[in-house]
Amino acid sequence: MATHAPSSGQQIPHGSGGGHAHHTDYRSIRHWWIRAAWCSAAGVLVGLLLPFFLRWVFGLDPLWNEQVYVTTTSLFSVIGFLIGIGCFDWWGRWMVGKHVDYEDHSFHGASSWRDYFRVNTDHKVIGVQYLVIVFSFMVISGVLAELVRTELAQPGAQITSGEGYNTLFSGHAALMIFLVIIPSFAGLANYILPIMIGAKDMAFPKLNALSVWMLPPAGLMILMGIILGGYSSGWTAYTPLATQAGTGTTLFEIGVQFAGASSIMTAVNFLVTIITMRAPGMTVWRMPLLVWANATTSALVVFGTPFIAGSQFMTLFDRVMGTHFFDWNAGGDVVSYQHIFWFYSHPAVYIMMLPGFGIISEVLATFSRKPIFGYRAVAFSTVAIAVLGFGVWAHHMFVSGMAPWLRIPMMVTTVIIAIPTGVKVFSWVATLWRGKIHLQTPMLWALGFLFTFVIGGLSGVFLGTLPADIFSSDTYYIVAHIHYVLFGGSVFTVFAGVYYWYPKMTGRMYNEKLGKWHFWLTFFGFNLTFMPMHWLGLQGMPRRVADYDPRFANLNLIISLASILMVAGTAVFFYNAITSWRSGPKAPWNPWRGRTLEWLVSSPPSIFNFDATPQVVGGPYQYGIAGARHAIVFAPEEIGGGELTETTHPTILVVARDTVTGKSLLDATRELGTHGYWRFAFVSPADTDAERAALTRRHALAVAVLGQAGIPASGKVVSGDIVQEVARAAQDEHAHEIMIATYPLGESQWLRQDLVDRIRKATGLPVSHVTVSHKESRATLDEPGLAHVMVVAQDAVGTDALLDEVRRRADRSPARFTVVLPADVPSPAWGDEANAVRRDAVDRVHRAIEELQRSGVAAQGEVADGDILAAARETVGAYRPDEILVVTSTAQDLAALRGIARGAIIDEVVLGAGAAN
Amino acid sequence: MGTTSRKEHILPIAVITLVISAISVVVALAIDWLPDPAAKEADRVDALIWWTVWASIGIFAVVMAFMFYSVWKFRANEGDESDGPPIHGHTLLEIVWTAIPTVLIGITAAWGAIVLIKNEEIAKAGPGPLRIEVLAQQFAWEFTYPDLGVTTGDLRVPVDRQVILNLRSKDVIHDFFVYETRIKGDAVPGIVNDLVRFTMKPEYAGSVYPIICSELCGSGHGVMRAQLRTLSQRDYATWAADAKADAAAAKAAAPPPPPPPTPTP
Repeated sequence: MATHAPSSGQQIPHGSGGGHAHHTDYRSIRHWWIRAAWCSAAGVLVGLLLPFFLRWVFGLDPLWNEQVYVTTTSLFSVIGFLIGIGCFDWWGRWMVGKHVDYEDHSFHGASSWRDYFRVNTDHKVIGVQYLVIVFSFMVISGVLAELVRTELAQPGAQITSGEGYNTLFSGHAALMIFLVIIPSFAGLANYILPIMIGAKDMAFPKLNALSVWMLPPAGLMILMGIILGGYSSGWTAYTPLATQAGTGTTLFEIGVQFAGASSIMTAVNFLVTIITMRAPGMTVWRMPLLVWANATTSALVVFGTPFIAGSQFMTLFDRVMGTHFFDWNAGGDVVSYQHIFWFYSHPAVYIMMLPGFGIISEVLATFSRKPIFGYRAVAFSTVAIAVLGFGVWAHHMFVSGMAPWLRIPMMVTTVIIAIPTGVKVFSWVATLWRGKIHLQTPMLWALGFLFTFVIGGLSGVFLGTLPADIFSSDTYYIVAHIHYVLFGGSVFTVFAGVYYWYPKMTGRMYNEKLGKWHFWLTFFGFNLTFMPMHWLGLQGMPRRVADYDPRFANLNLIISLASILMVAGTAVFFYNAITSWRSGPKAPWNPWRGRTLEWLVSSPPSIFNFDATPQVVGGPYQYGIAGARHAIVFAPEEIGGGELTETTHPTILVVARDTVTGKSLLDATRELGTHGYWRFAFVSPADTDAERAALTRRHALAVAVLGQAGIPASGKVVSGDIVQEVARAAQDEHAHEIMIATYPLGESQWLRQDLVDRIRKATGLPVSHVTVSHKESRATLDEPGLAHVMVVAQDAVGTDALLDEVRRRADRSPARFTVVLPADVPSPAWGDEANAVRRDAVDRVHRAIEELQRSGVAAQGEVADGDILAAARETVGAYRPDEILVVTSTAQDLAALRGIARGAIIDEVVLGAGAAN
Repeated sequence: MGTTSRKEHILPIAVITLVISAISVVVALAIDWLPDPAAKEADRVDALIWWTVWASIGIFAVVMAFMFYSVWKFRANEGDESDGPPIHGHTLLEIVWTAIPTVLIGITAAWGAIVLIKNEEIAKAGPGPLRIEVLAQQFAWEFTYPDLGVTTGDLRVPVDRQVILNLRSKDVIHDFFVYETRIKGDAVPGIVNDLVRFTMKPEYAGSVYPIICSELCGSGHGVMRAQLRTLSQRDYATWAADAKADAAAAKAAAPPPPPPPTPTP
């Protein structure tokens, strides 16, 4: 799991918190989820009692009207959940006049996976939360899609028909649109956009948290609607069909309100963030195209989404409150539903597409190593599409019986949108021209997108042409077109974006080979699935039917089989994403050599992205111009300012002796190190050669442990006056601050000499102090990155020859050691004699370990009953060593040892004549 | 950089464009894409469709040719960390690639408008259009010939005479669609939609085409079917006379008369 570790402003006074005191809220996730559970339950109760009471008071008959209670319980339970999980805590305190801290960051950032499962105001955590929610729902709607394809594999009824089938495709569409595609862009932009414009977070972090937490209940509600039944009027939920429907439709209408509200709040957040929080120098014409795309999309959402909220509220009121908005029997107008619905839902197509255009622009420029061709034209075409997008809604209604005159104007505006869209496509292809094209996975998705999107765009022009639309609307041609633009379009861009920013978000590299498998499986599966649907539609297969003409049987079977390729591709994606997140190679700051700001900070970025405000100095895509730059990121004042890059690290000097390998010290350095810019230089004073050798070994261990965490470090042993030497080292290393590790007060010689203060005075640098207990500095280091070597010997334990052998091994590469002494105890094993043998063995191991630790080797020991083999079997099982060092043994023993070594490398050691075994 | 290096790209791109176009044209021609154009309106719609298809194939081929060629030709070598040339744009080129689609789009839109207007023109010559009342309900069609006083479950129309359907619905939205006419229209409760207008071609007399409901209308949506039977003028006249007589007889035999199937407005 990637973590954005909090800076330890408490421990290290001059740490890199950027002036923000940061401490994570102490309450566990259990606390929040229990609270959410009972608050939701309370919501259900309110939802039952309130309408019951009101209906009773006003004498409404009957008291029980199912849809009324479904409406109120679902509404109040979601509100209860949001209150319980803690979305309103801060505002609640503020409203009742309690003290609130405007600089309270206790709900900000994540230091473990748990912090992702509670309300969090960090835009990066929220971005990850969005994507996890999105991909969970993608699995569910993928399952629904496969059920649809199973039903359609043969004509006639396979697994379901009629109502059940209508529920399957309605659910698939509703989840894909409202819970997958729209929020996936919100998720990606949430993570990337604030960093791209040089901001520390979104403008309204608490609102941002509320937005993301609205999504799971919204999705759950739609999902429950699918399971409970009654949601079968398509994702468009046209009245009067939807008015007839049951519980599922009520839940859909409530769920959409929350998804929509989430969407609107995020859009407002993005708009304010983009308008007010750009870094100095980030003029609009220096904004990366992703920012342009999201600014435009957010405007679309703010204007458009209230219309779908309205349309669903009006249908809901018609159904449960007895209004007549769309009730044609009582003066309502059926067609007006479609006008209101499409006035949102057509712009929604661009809400689902424009952010993807932004992603494609970023990916194409980076992997072609060229500036985006016609940057301003691409930016303007985004705005043009958005503006025109509001003038075309009725092209979904050419056959709906609306005012006939409206059709030709709407056709004209519709086909005009092809012009700015064409400008974008041509500009992207021109960006490839004469570039230096690298075909990594994000680029493959971008190129695949170009292919599928051009087809989807052209079939869109076909559909925009009025008479052709009258012919092909409501057929499979529409199904083909919508999947070419929303899957081949939007979802391909989401995958391009997820792969492109995966290293930034997780701090790990994904597996390139699996990424390519994912792409090719999906690409072929996609085209084989949806290309034939064009023909099916033109030939006369209507959409939204479970049964069809037997002459389409073969093709439908092929389509159903091809769709399995996409399932396989998605499985590869999930495997890749999850395993790479756990154990992929560490990602550098800028794996793609991108120019925009998110690549100029660490992967993942530190808690507030930038500890000092960055300065934007040029356009975002200045590839090929020598010396051109987009922005400069600075180190904070506290560490001396200056430019911050991945390769130049300000240094913290760590002064320590035997405490170098103490866990407290390593943890403190590692925590600071997660920010990505510190480098640690260990300085240890030594008097004798033996001490020098021991400390060198300890340095090697510490450097290896930090190296495993991706933190640069070095070690140096000095001799002479300690204060003078530290001052000199601080100068040599250009140290920004000093960390001193000592034993606790009373045990520490250094503290007795008042070393902390003396070094502070001598260097003039900030000094912090870490206490390491004696026990810790003696404990073996159980850290990743160190090989575990098991030393199995009997009489040789304690001999200088063996100890030298171990030291030699320790010098070869950093490792920790476990010395195992098989004590051949005489029978009976509980007798005095046996105990004496054991005691002797324990003493010898003790002495050996003591000796090794004095010489800086991380070692522990173990006495095991039995001969070499028995002891080895037992201890190998317990320790799982990487290597086994065994003192000269018989050939049979060696062979047997190989059998039980569990893959550990076995080294046979031949000791000198002095040490017989 | 200079013209010489630009020239070297022209030939391969032209070849790739031709290959992609050829494949697309073969796909377009070898496969039977459109159902029989049994109505006069269908020919106009098909002509428009083929125009958009040819124009689309042209654009698709050029864009894809440039894309594939670029990926093949300008692919960076392993370990090449250099950047491409800093080309930020080219105003003339951008004007050209905005203008060409604008022209194509203009043609398409104008053509589309003309086809629509022609298809919906009410015939003035001859006997004039035949108006039929269509009532849709979950999940059946009902066709009433006001002139004959006849109501049937299948639609019988004469060839070579314009038919105008007055679509109404009793409950939810339905959609009347016969593929071979290329015309469809919603039957919406509360309004009358009379935009389904078609004239069957004489050579398609005696055919039967499925009428399907094209707008999701509930659990029986998939089975909401009826038939369109095309009759020659003479056959239609015969059938009309018979049906009219039958209807009159039935009316006389079974008073009181059933209420006319007019939905509430």
